[in-house]
Amino acid sequence: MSRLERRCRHLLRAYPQPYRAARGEEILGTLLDATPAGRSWPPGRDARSVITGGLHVRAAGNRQLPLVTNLRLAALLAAALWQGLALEAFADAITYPGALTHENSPVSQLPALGVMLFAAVCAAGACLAIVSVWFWRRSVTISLALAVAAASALGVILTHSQGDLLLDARMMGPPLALAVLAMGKDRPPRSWLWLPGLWLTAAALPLPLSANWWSIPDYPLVAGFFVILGITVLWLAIDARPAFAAGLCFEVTYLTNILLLGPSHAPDAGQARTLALTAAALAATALRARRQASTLPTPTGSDSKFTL
Amino acid sequence: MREPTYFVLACLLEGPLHGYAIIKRAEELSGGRVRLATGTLYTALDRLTSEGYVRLVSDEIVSGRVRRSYGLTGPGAAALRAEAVRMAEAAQIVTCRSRVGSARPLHPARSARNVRTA
Repeated sequence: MSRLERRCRHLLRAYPQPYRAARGEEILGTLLDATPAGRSWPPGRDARSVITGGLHVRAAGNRQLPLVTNLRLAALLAAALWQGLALEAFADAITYPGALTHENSPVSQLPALGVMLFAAVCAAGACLAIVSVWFWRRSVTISLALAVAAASALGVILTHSQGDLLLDARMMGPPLALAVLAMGKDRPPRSWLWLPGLWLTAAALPLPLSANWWSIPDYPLVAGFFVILGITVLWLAIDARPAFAAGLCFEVTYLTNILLLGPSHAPDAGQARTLALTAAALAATALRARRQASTLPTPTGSDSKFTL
Repeated sequence: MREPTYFVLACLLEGPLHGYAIIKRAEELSGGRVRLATGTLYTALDRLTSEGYVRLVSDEIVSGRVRRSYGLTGPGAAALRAEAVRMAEAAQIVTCRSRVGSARPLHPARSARNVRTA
């Protein structure tokens, strides 16, 4: 394979994989024919047109599903992200089991190793539940999510009475949402995996940085948040659903944190403004998703169907 | 209809062509003005196929790669003719007026007087 052909194949990755499987060789042949002899790069305008053409096909692929299905898939992604955030409490329990051994707590009699093992198994189950959304059958996702929810409930029962809410009610919401939303037939496209991947990477980055990682500021998480925000905004051009999912996850997490402070605690002006801004951004992305779902073009000249 | 689309359809009037042949033919027909980029061509072909203006005619393997030829359909040929007629009528408006204008140039002062008396 020549260097030119290898580079052309890299460019073709702008198209979704099913489209490449059906049309890739044909487009590659045309691209190679259109490149003057002796060049190791395709002409700039051809390269640009292949990239924009690929994005165009991806955008068209998103329009194959109705708005309701698109929003349910976005909510499923939001639940996966929320579950990713909830992993932090398990990580706390693994690295700092002493937090659970409150002298009046029912779990105070448990050895630290037992607490660590319990949290590690819960965390592994939650990670598998997230991964299964893309790679395994929905029955697996539902079973894993319900198991994590049950384990979280056990953690809440064991620790809640003393107000030591390391494993509190916030732990049960994400797996339950994941189980309910995974009941639908459609699965999120694998082209969305960058979002939970980046999210989990940003959340896990502090771990190797220090033995006392909980004591260092959340710089990687904040940096990861801005990277994710930037990509989701760019991604809006072809698919509004990841942006909707990220916004929904933020809104639910933020609202839950406020509500868990107590029924008498009303959001202050700053919190109310943040909630309103996020709700407005959510509405805007939902409108964009509606536009992307409103037409149903057939994106190809061949007989195969292309889905992302 | 955009100019690249028009020329893609116009290329196929003479018979089915494969991707690179469409690019070359469009360049020839337009006197070098329309140079279709590869991605643009396939986006246009996808759209024209979904609209029923173009159809896949044949598949062949050339140098180990699939080469597909596309042909014009009945509705595609009709749409192309309609667009050509529309453009000819639009062009006629300008060319006719230019001819009249070049035959009888208006005197600026007289035309200003005409405006005042109107």
